[in-house]
Amino acid sequence: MTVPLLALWLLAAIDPCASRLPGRKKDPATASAYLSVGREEESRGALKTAKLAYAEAVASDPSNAQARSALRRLCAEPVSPPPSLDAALEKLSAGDRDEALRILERLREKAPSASAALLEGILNYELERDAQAEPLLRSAEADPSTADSAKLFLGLIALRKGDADSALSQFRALSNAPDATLRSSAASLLRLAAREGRLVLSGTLEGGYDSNTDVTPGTQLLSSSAAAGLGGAALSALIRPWLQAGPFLLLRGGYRAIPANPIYELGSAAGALGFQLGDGDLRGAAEYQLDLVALGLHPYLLTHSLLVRGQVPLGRALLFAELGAYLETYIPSPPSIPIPLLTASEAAGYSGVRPAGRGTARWRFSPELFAELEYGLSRDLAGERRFSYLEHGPGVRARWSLTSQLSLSTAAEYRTRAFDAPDPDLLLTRADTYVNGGLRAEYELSPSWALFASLWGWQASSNVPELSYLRLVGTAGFSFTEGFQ
Amino acid sequence: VAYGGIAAAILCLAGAALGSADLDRRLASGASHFRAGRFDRALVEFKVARQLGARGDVTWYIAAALTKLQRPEDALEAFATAEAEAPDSGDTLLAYYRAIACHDAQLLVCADRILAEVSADAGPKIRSQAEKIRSQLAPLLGPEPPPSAIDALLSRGETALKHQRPTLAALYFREAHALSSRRSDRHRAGEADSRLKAAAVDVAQRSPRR
Repeated sequence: MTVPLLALWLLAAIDPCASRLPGRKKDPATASAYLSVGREEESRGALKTAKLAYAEAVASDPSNAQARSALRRLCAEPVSPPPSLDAALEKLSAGDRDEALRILERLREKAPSASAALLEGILNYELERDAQAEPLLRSAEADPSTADSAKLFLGLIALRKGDADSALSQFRALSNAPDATLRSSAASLLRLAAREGRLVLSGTLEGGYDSNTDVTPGTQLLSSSAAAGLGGAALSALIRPWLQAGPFLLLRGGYRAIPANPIYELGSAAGALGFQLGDGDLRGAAEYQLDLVALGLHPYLLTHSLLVRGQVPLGRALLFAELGAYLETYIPSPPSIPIPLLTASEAAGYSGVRPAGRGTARWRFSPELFAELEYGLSRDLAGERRFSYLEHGPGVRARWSLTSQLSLSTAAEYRTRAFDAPDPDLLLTRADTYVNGGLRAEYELSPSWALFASLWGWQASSNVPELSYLRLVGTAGFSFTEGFQ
Repeated sequence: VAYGGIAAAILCLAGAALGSADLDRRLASGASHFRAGRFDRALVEFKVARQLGARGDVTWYIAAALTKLQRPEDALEAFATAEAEAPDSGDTLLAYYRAIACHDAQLLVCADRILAEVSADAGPKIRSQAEKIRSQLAPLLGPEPPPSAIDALLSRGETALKHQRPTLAALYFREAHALSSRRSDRHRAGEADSRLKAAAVDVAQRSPRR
């Protein structure tokens, strides 16, 4: 055998589409049998074996026109590759989610598998096509190798529908999942599910220490004469008749008692009425809010605000923006107070409109760790120009879930505040900077209850020394959040 | 599990049982490909042998090749045909392949049942493999199966019926019924039973003996 012939022979043995060597004894009956097998295999979508059979049919009887035609069709026409999970994953990694879904749909028809059902279900969930996703995920849930992942996404669908009970059931079933990432995600989602509902009640009860209750000027952090113990409680109720997307009403109130310095005891009450569009990563909301702040049980500041906010996903990041207009009305201290906090003229001077905005980019490094970078801008248009200012600066936040129950969060913020006009009483134009930051640890006692401890510090620096101060507040307590259908 | 067992059996069959030289050639060629791990070529040769008139034993080998090609649903249909045509021709190695096909098609009760039979009869190598798989299945089959598993099997059975594959549908309905009987509420047991009977009637109507 010559070298070219040997090469041809080898190629024909490997590739059924390669040219066939002449010389095999013509056998129409065998060729017909191969042709039948080729057709049967092709009808099953097994193109590789179909090609092999057609090639053998042609080799057995080169004059068999049907076999030649079938082989030519399968070899010459680049038939679309048979659907496979790998092909779908390849399309997905190339960013072609629609084509990946088409492949998975064909795969489901030809050779259904739990892995393909899981992937197709997840893709449909991501496209918010829950009706299509759910039966696929149910199918994947039936297979032990994909059951846990399917449960997670079935729980997410239930959560999105507002069916907190079903979501809780799915997430609880993952508490002993072998996969640590799944276990951790389920634990986080379990807390989230417990906090979902048409009515969500939450509250805190805390006690602690404030190193500088009346923001006494100074540079000594812990030796201020205004240091005192504190105790506080807060409650809020969020009512969302249509769950995530739709109208909402938020009512909240709280009080922080400082028995040693009651004039600086802080009370607040607020209500917000708004509407949210969307319930996924892409969402927006608008709301009206009314806040009342009281100092020492006397009304101090009343704020009407209009807010719009929205968030969009961008790859693994989430971009968030908020714009607001705040109409702030300071309330003079009543005449019964011996040393008023605000006189009528001061209150009028501080009052005014304050437009503000902030933009945030959140990056999730892993299910357990995310960080946020923020920039805030605020323009205070107070009644008197000496109290008006422009404030801006960056901030960072991070949260890390160390275990399914213990999490740490930290935040820091830097702001510069430049006032518009000289203050005749101070004989200068104020320029302040504020730095604050802290740490908070939270330990989940149950899906609804948590124990927390936090340490927060503030440093205000001003070109007016009497307005510079340091303050450290440490608190510990319990928090509670529960959703009701 | 080595492929040599099946290949040797086929070669023996080709040499002794079949008279036709062409059938012998096809079966010997299929056995050779199977032994070499070229399961696609083996499948074609076995199927051609069947086209040329071979029955019974060759269908077992078609089923084995389909199992190796990871076409479990096609394999299970072929095993059912083989069992109907040549019930005495199966052996523990082929039963092991059938269990693998059940496993790959997510018919875990089916896989476990066949592997239990294989463990009792097979030699040490296959027995060890079978017991290993059964130990992996045990925790999955131990607790009460979730209703969603039964729902999914019934759904697959209906899909198989829609595609004119009643034998496969019957396997899914039987598995659904087996899982349902393990639940205290016997979730959709009646439905699984009635669908199984309907699929069995369909299988009987398609049987060549009618």
